[in-house]
Amino acid sequence: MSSDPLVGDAVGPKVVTVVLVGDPSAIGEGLDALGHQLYETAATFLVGTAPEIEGIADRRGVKWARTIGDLRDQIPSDTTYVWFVNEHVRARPDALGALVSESVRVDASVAGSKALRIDDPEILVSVGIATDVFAVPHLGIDRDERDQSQFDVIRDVAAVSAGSLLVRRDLLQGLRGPDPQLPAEAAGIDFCFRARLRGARIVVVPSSEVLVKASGRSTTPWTEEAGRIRAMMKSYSIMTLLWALPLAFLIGLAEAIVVPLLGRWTLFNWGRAWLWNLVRLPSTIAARLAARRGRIAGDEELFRYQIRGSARLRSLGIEASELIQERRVHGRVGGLSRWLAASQTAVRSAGFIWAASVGVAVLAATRSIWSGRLPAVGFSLPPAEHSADVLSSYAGGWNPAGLGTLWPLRPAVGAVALVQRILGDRPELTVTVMLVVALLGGALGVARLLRGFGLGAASSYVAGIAFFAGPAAAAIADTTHWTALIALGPLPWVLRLALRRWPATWRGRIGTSAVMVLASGLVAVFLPAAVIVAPLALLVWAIVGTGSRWMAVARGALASVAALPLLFPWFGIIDGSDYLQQGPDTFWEPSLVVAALVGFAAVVTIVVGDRLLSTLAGWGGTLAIAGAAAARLGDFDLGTDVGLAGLLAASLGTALVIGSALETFVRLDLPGWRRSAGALGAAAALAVALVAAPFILPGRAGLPGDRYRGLLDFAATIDGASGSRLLLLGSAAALPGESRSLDGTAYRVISVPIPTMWEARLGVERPADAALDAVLRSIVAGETVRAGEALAEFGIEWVVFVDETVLDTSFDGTLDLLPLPGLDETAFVNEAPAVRAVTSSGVAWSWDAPGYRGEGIAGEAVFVAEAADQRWGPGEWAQNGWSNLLSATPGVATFSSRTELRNEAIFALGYLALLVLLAMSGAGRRAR
Amino acid sequence: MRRLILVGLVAAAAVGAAFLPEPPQPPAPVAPPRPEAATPAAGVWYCPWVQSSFEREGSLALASVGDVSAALTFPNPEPGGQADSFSLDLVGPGATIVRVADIALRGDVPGFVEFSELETAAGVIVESPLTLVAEACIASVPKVWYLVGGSTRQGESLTLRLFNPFPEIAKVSVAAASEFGAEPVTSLDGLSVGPRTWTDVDLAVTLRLRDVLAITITPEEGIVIPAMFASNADDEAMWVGSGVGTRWEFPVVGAGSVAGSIRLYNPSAQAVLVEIDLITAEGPILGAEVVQVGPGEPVIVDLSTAVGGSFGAVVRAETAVAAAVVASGGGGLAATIGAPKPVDRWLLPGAGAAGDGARSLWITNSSGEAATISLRALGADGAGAVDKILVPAGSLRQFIIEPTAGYLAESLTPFVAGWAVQSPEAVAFALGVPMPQE
Repeated sequence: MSSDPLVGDAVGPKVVTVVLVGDPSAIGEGLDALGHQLYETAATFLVGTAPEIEGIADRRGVKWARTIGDLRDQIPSDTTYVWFVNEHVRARPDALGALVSESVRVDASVAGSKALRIDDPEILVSVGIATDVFAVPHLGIDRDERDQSQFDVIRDVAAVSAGSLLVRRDLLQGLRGPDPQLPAEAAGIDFCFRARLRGARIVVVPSSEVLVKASGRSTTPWTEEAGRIRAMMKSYSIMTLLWALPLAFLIGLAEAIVVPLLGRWTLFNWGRAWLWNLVRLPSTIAARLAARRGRIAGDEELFRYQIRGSARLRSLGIEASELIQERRVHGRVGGLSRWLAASQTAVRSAGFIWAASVGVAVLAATRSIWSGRLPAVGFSLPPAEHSADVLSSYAGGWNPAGLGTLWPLRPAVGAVALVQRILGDRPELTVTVMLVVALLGGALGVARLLRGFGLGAASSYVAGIAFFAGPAAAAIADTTHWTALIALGPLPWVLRLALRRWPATWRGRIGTSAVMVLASGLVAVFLPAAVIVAPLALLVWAIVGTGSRWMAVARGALASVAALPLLFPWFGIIDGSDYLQQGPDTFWEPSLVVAALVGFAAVVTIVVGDRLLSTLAGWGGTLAIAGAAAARLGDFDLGTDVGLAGLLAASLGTALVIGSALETFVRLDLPGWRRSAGALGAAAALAVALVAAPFILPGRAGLPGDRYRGLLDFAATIDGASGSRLLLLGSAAALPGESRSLDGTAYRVISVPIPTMWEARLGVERPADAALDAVLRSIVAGETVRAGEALAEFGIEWVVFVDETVLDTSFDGTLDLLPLPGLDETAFVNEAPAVRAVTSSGVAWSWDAPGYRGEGIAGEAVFVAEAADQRWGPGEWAQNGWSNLLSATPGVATFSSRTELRNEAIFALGYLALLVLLAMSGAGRRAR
Repeated sequence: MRRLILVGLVAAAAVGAAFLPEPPQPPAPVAPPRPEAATPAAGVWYCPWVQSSFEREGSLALASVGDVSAALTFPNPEPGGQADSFSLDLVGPGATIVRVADIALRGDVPGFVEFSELETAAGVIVESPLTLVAEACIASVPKVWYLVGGSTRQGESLTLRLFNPFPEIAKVSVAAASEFGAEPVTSLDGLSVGPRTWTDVDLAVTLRLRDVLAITITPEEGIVIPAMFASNADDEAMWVGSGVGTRWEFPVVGAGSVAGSIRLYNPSAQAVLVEIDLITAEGPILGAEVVQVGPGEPVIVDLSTAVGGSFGAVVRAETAVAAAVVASGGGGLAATIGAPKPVDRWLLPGAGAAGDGARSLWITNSSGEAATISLRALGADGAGAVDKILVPAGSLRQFIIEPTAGYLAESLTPFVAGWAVQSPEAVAFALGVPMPQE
């Protein structure tokens, strides 16, 4: 300990030493070094909040202060300088003397020491700090650069490290010392920024040397990152902050995205740093007010000592250059291989990070859906408001599509309604949950499937992302059949369960079987034609694969068959061949480049991969091509669902190819042509995986943008109509769901304002549809000038042309369809009163889907503009041409469900419950 | 070997998938069979000019071959104003006269009539003590309208009426041609006619002192129904727009002291040779007039000196022209459009109902064989007895008719029918309405 009273008076300015103690256990040697300083200090303080520091101070005969604030009060007023050192720092005996003498000589207010590595004092750690505008330090020295006195000149710098920092006491008092909330480096930068605003000169004194521990970390601690942000917010003007903060945010995000390729992970640090600042925003604002009060310089003075551009991006560039250099030295492919392997090794230990990455990708791919709504376009229609109505309709009730039909709703509609019911009848939440769970489940399922074959996490999860967002999945989404995307979720799990080791106990087998049936059932419910994808995929594996595999085919096939009862009552009514031919003929035309890349990756992996990976690539390639072929069978009168099932298989196959190609490259160690070929195969696989970007970036799960809300919302806006219909004309692709044709021009009616999921499919044509067709033909032929009156009979209040058609002018010259100006598309409102249900005295009833409700009038009849069916009631029913005439006395019009269908629906629900119970009962067994 | 088989499997599948045939494209949408000039398929008749005021008595004459219900609508030009409407049932064959004043007493009230059946017709009669106007209403709508005839000489007025009975706004381009050639009138470009209202263009102001005018109306948006209203010191006349054709037949051109002229307009870019045959009671005068009509040129063919007495005419042209008859003299002014072709059945709504003067029916048989015409007077209670009239080949028969609401004329030989009213104070010509061919 230095003498007390002070002796500095005799030789120079009085100095107080302040040791900032974060780790009390490391303080011993540092204090010893301070005791050997040639320049006598007036006092030494330990500053820190740890309880043992006070004891240490007592034992070592130095003073103690809890905080910088406490310290300021204890520093004698005749002190000229305060020397801050870190507890880790070992100061050379002349360090303080040099700092003091040079500071006096150059009239510096803040001075810092040259830092050398404590384990090798020949290596430079820092000689002052330049920063960029984002307060990121740029040391200006190479890694492991030797100290050859090349920097030994006193220089003005942006900042000096708080590890050894001499500051004039009056400035310290004015600035209230270093920010105690910040770590050393950030605290030094922050302090120097604030000092410079007060006009202080900041220099580095290379003749003052301190030894410090070099950070072994390749990643900056998040606290430093947070400190820099806080330093910026405290010192810069608002104008600078307006652009600097967003840029800092984006650069950090960009770094977080890129650095995993270099084997590091900064995303969480980046997030924590910003969150930390958000939480501490009030204290930052207070500190900012203090920092900028009394300033005599502006931001430009800070900029003078800063480097141009981003130090962080510059550092990334240097790192990449070193990597390239390494590749050059070791051979191009070998270097890349090591780099990839190193990256994978770095992250393999944290498989959850990959899973989290998949989660982030899924959330990003669906962000406009969970933050907004499902785009209403084509078959992508939101669920109905009330799930009970849909479930009732599914169970043999009235299907309100078009002018109404007995055609059963698809199982997917029933399933969505069931989930909606469980989620408290919230349609938007239902869509979000189902899509996110399905996409995430699909990606994780593929990853688990591949990891089951021993593939690494990186290869498996990249394949998982390609599965839900690759070219085939994008093609599914492009058809707007969003429920088919949900079938992606369970599909790989069926394969995974079928291929895994079969449980030893009966209970486990039953549980596994139930889960398999459930997974197969989910595939079938959301895309019935896809129920055979899993068995066929397993069959292909049995043909090309390795090990015991034929049992898996049997399990997969049995699970698919056992899943079929879940499709009742729809399954009991449909004609199989009709179903397979439904919808427009599909003919998938994938990008030739993508197809070539997949093919190349598959062939290369088959040729150069090890036996397992070669087989996996063969399996995936066969599945991808067979699926693509199935999606191109339109000429054989096979409809949309067959094509979608093919795309599902193609997506699975593509994912398997990508996973096996990447893994092949990672596993190959021997040099030679096989390694080069493997690298090219992996590059091709990565390129295919990048096709996921267009799926993910728009945030709509690959679905096209919303088309109907902006176009049709006017109908609800104008008068809030809910009891009328809207006639849409356009191309078939532009209309929601299915449509009918008027000499090639598509048309359909929907409920105002936009159709919901259960209205998508129109069913077979009934007399009501024929009547509407006849009316439309008479209108377009000019035989009916009172088109509105003719359409009003069908409850059609609005006519909208969704896109250009040859009928665009056909509604000109009608007397009672009023054009609606100011809309993007041609639209008319019907002047004739158009409601779907009206009593004989003209009282309109409102649509209470799928029935009607209104004023009960004894002795009157109510005309119900739904396709005629004797199950409409209650009470007397009469057919009125194509529509229904009921008694208006009850005040309601309802449709009596078909009992046999209702029973089938109940059976399906019971079967589902049984499967869930069996799956749950076997869950523990499986886990063991 | 195993790898080779796998590669072969993948390659074979890829080749198979690549060569799958593309499904045939669905047939392209077909435009509806809507003719350029819409036929009266809808049973709706547009009457662009009717007047009903303290000066003039306007009436709509309705006629039908079968039992029919009719709805008359007179739009209200006031924003948000309720249209005046009236419905009636008509026993067919029958005809009736509906006084517009009984429905809407608002001066100018263009309207339209919707029949429940197709074999129907409507016409307009507007009378005052000194004037008489009659013309059939319009059921067919050509893509481009032409109104030929009329002049803006000193003492004459000429007004173009553009009636838009439809709920969408109509935008039309109106081009004019006179003896000076094409008349660039920028104010008539992109003329808007609001929904369910009408616009009048006073050509006597816009195009002063022109001897002959031809107006071309090209719709840019929506549909308009045009008519031309002319007046001089003695009388008034109104005729509706029509399309163009290579043949026009006019049953009434000259009637005694009323000197008839045929107005022609050649909208094409080449000169066209036009021959006019006159049809008289004594037979045809083939090629009575041969005129060359220059491109974009309107001409007047004065037939007052060609033949005395009453006569009709057939206009034959190499390429399509627009044509109309304008007749004046003896204190009267009359105008009407022609029929593009003879047919075997005509309704003549209003024939026998207009004015106090001599009411006459005019039938021209331009064919090469005699035609026996069955005539039935039509009233609100039905049709009267059948009168048989022989019209020799290539000749005109004009005969006085009794007061009634209209006539139905039928024959196995196609012919053209019109009617006229002449009094010392006024004269009016009107073409009959051809019934759809079986």
